[in-house]
Amino acid sequence: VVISERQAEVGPSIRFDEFYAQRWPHAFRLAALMTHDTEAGADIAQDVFAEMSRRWATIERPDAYLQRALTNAGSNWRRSARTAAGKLHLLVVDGDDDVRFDGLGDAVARLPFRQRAVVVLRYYADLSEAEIALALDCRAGTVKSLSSRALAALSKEIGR
Amino acid sequence: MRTLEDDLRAALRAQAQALHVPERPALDRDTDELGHRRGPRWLAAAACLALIAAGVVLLAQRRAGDPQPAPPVAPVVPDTTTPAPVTNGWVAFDSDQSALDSDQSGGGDIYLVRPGQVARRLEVAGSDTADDACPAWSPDGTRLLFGRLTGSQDNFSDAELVIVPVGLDGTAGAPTVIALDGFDDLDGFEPHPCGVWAPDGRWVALGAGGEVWVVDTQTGAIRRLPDLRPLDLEWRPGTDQLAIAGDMGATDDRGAPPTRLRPGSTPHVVARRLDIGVHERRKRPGRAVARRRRRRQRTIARRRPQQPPRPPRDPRHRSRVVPDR
Repeated sequence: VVISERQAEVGPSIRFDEFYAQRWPHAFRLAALMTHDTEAGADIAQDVFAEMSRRWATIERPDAYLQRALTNAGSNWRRSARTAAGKLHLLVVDGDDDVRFDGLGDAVARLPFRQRAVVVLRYYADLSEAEIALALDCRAGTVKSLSSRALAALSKEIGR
Repeated sequence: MRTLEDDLRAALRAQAQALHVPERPALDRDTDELGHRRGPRWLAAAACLALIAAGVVLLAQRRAGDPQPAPPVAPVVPDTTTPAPVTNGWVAFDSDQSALDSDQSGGGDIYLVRPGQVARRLEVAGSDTADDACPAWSPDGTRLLFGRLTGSQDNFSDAELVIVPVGLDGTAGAPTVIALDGFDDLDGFEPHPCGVWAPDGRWVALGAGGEVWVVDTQTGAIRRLPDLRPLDLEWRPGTDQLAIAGDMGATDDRGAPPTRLRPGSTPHVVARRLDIGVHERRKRPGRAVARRRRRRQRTIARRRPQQPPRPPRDPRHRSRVVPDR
């Protein structure tokens, strides 16, 4: 089963060091967007890659494993650190005025974690509903429901 | 027209691109694996052990290198070879405490003695026909207090407290006599009134039967504190508090803890009947044991597997205890 084009490109036969080098920026950004904390994103990404390096021989679909592990780790981090919403200032911005956080980014950060994960996985990682369901360990219908509620909340939040 | 989804996609990608991606941690060259960011726990444990070991070694070295701690310096003890000026070295005792024969004077007498000198009888008016005993120097050493029983030699009936100023040469001045009307002694105890000076040199406490009497030596007023049954009296040094050892309030032979009173211009008792506390302590453990026993009975009954079915609960009773078998 082909999970995504990116996973098909990597394939199960790729070496871990190559996979690690290719996926590190993506994994970090994904974790940082889901947790809204760059420090937590780096921690989560490294922990996930460390776990993958030990289980690499048994992992059949590395990208699916990576996305699900990042999502689970992000959920666990969010559960243990309820103060993530107050750490927006920790998100490092390069200083470019065009890419600073705006109201929409802050609204995403205020969503419940599963809704935020659906938004990030869908609109940043470009995953399909099936891939998101696999990452969140839920049904595709649940992903639709979470996405719908997230968009409704964002629309209400930004006044559209 | 841009939709919310388009804005979301653009915003998230802009945020992601704005993030400064940290350098990825290096892989282990031998195992081609990646360690956790926080490091292995054994490393932290080893560091803690190393710190503890270093501390122990340093402490041992310090103890080995340092000389033995100096012995405590003896406090400066005042020179007691010369008598204090307050009494000029006079020691007072009564004839009952000495080998002197009191028959020569008809009753017990008070004697003064200094080292190397013959004891001399304290000449106080009225002492020829009285029985004097229990001398006690006032705190300033200028007055001598003793108890006196008067009456016939075979039947002393009246008790007095006598306070005599004593000069440095042992001569007695004019005595102050305080009549102790109603004084009664306990059977088997000293029949004389034996006063104990308060640290302030004004009040004198004495046991009188089942009471404690506090006497104002300036006015002669006596405050009687009943139901204390004193065995021993001791003023707390430097205070106006009197410790009373006795079996106050108790009807059996239990010894009661000391209590206290606070004299003053209007002395009043602040003592409590401490034997009441003993009574309360006895009752509390009994109640606790009863509670624990009931609780254990319920637990055993609940855990027994072959417990017979309980009879239907009587609606009049809200709880029921299953007895242990």
